[in-house]
Amino acid sequence: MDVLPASSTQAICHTFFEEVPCYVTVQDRDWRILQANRCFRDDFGPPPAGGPWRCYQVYKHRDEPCLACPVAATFADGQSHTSEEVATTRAGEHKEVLVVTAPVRNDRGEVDLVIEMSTDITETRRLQSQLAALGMMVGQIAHDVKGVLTGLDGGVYMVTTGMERQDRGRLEQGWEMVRRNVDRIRTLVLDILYYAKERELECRLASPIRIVEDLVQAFQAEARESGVEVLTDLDPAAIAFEVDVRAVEAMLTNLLHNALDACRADPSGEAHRVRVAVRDEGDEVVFAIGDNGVGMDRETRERAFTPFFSSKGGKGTGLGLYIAHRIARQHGGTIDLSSRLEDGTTFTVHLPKGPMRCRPRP
Amino acid sequence: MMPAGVRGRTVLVVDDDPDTLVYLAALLEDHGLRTVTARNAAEGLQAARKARPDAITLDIAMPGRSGIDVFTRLRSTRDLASIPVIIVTGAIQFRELVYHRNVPPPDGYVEKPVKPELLLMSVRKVLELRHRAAAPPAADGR
Repeated sequence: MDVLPASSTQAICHTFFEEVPCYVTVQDRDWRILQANRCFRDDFGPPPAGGPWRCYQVYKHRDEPCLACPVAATFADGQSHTSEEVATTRAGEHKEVLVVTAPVRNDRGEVDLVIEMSTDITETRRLQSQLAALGMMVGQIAHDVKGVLTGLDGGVYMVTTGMERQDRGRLEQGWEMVRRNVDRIRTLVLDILYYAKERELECRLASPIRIVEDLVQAFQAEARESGVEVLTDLDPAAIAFEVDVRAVEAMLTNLLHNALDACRADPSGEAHRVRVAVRDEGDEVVFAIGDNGVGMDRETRERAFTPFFSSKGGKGTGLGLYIAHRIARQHGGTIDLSSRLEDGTTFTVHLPKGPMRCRPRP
Repeated sequence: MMPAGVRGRTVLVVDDDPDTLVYLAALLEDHGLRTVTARNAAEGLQAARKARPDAITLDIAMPGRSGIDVFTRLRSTRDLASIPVIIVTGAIQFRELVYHRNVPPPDGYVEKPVKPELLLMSVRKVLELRHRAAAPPAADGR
């Protein structure tokens, strides 16, 4: 290999320092940043006018050094140190960074300066957490499927023994169980598909009252079996609007089942009701689904729309409300909840009537 | 059909899924047992106190207070502690939790989806053991 002239080596080192795709700073014992590369300056610069530019101020927006500091450790023992930190850019964006330090020694072998190199691993961590969430979802779905299979087995058992004994009541009960669990499989599969891929909306003019009436009719039997009354309050002013009927049905079905589960889980023994309302509010159609079930504590309220969060023991995939939220948002609408422990919960969905990003029907 | 010594005994079935509840109760009744059902943890504890069943089948993953809490409560309540409990669950990750409680372990464990013959065998076994334990010692003259 040919030996490069000193000037070229210097130019290469300078270019490398400037262009390496991670944050590089050179710091003294007081965490003063004496030199920083372009990547760092782009996200954390420029240096403040006047006072010194200190590592902990720039990366962490702190007034004093961090408790466990790899730079301080390198000054102390002359060794390289690594740590994982969360830095905040000047735009307020959080970056997960892998920090590696290296000592710079003077002629006497003393550590004069430390180079701190921080690689942005935000995307890696995001993918890791997505993978973990996926694993969690597979476990929860497996568990949910087991529950549905038990229900289906039960239905088949009741149908078979009902036929053997010519017991029409038992047969019908069994058939209802089969039907219900087939519906559960359908919902489960649709939930998984929605989670896996955000499908484009396919809108058409549809009556919100009709959508709710059809859903409530299908839902009545299940609610009745659990001793839950379903009440509707449908405002005739809520006329047809452009909406993806399948998506909104999936959203409302999730909310109805949530309401029913909240009633079933309530040990208070009081008479349970699920109220479904449709209102016209000018530019918006509003759906409200309320129950007087167990209600939610603060943590459940705050995490209700987070994927894989479920308060139904092992019975929920934790996808229903996440998907409901996504469907409302896709329509340019909102969904919010009000809930008090032991009092009940109401979900309110606002969907705009105006033009949306809907794909025209073929 | 359950053997004569076991027939007519009462089993409390606790599960928050109404279809599973109907299924397990029908299965046990069809084989000569009586059943009481409960849809959640609180109802389960209440029914155990009231009905004093001869055995309990208990779901683990229920909303609110979980089956694990019910199990621990049953085991630590003096006059309920001796009722045999069979855990019926699809949540295998909870299995360890039940066995690591500081109380005597459950008397049986059946996974969902439930194989009827396994559930019946498990219930029959615990009822026979309980029946034998409760029966007066044989007067054989020795």
